[in-house]
Amino acid sequence: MSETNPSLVLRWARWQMRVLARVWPEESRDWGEAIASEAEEIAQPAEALGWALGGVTVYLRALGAHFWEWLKMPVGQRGEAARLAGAPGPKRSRLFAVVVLTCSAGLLCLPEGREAIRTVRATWENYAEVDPSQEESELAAQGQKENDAQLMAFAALSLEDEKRALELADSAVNLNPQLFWIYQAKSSWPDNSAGVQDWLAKARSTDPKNAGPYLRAADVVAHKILSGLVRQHSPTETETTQAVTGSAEWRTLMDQAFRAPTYNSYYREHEELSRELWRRRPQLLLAMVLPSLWQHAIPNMLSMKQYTKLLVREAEDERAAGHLARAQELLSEATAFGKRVEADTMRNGRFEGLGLSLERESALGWQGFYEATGDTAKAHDEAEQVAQPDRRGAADVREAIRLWQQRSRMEGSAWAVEISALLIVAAVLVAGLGIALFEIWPAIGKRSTATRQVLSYVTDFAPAAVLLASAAFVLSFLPYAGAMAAFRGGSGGRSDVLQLSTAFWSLDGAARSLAGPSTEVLGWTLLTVVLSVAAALILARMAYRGMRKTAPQA
Amino acid sequence: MGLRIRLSRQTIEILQMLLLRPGHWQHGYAISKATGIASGTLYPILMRLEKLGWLETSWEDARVPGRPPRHQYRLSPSGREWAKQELRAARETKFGKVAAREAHG
Repeated sequence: MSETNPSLVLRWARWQMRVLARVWPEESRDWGEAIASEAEEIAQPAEALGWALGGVTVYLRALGAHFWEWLKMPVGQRGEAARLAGAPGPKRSRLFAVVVLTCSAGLLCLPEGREAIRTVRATWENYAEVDPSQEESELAAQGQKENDAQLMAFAALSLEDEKRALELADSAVNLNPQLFWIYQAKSSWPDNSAGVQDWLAKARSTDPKNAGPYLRAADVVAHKILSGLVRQHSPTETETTQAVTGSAEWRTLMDQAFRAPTYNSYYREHEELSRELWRRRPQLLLAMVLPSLWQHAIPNMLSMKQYTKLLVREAEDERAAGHLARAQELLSEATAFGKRVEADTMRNGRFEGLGLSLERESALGWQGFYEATGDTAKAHDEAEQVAQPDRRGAADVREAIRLWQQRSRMEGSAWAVEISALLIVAAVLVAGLGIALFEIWPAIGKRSTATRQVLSYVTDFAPAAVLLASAAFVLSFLPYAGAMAAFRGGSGGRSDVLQLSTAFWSLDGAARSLAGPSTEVLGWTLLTVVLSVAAALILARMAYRGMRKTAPQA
Repeated sequence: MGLRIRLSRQTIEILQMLLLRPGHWQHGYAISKATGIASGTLYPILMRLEKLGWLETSWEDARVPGRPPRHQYRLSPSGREWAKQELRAARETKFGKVAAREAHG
């Protein structure tokens, strides 16, 4: 190839060096032009290509050195000339801002940090009443796509669209028949909604020996009766009791429930489903896991009590008529049902005392029966049974006080979590704005030294504020992370769920208190927080300078 | 004499080449051809020598019309003294090592 007709490789090598020389960092551009000019002297294409590649490595090193020098300069400074111009500006280097902000990001990317962000976001969405149906629909679609029976079951229990929820439930149960209990667990409000009968029919057909579906069906009947009464006038307690217990349909269903060999509310199964799903999918929002547990359908306790009292009254009537065997049969039915309910509440760790209160009603009946038949010893035993719920009630009150105290302690942390979350957002905005302003417009505030000084000060310290707020955020969230880990890794029981609920609702309460009744109040709150922090920093700096000036000279 | 520079084999070869004709300007390509050192290694060494004040640089107008000016280099007076000292020390260390190896067989 001659110089008059250089090869493509030669031309490309020389062109590459010319382009590099134009974009070379200013500090060492001479050297880039030097390498480029030498390339013009090389005749051999392979040699020219090697020379150009060498030039590229020198360029990359120069770029790295230039970038490093740029990082070491204060924010907004573009070169040595700018520094010598003498205008006050930020003193902290870009490197400081990058390192500090990277450390903050590192903290927030820790598992506890990510969980904290997800949870706090959920409390803010709760405040804003963000409709969760979009997320629920996505979960449902994902469950169907992956043929994940557990996910479909979870989505079916959460979705408000009952038709879609029933389809999902059917798919889940077809895949995993052990999930049949979700037909009973689905909460429907109001109880006379169109879909509830479909759910109850499936619950009865898949679990015929359980009292639960019959109790729920009886609640639907009671709801219909009470709705009708309320539309006419404000009924008294006696009127409502008579109206419900007088319904043949209600009595038939309650009779079937009380005679059913088992009673299982399946709350424990629901809890285990949520726990297992949350273990498999930690990104699932706490704001979806908790409501799914609290929305678990439970039979109306009042209905159970009313029917137990009905059985006891009928037993009294039978005893008075001399039909002692029949009276005992009715009382035994009530007692057995109470025991089944108590066993269920003990198993699930929920509504403890419900079974005992039912047993108390039947124990009152037995006490009356034995007193009337002259069996004082057994009457005395039954009187002991009557007193037992009161003792258990005292234990429940103590437990409630313990949980209330725990919540009070967590509320302190809740405030710290929510406030530091707000501070992170505010400090990131301020840091970003300050850095962007000085980088894009280095002469900002030159006409007003005070303005420039304040902006410089804020830009210098905002990244550090982000780091401090991030550390405070993660540290103050640790008790909540512990509550969530305890639930995920736990073996079930009331304390895990209650601790988790206490954790979430304390955070939710703090968010609502901070945000106030409207977004305008929230905006003013944020502004107040930012200005207070800025004022505190400025006062601290002035005090520090004052101390240095008044310190005795050496 | 300011900051130290690590005397790699390539640096020694460049200094030896520049000391052959101390007052004479050399172009980068010529140094690369004489020493066999690629541009990616040569120029960082030249840049460091220049930063330390041991290398003088200047631009030479292009001899062929249409071509850009060429950059040329020679050791500064202080650079020449430094280079001679460093090369002497390097030879002594090298000969010292060789002698030690020979003594120990």
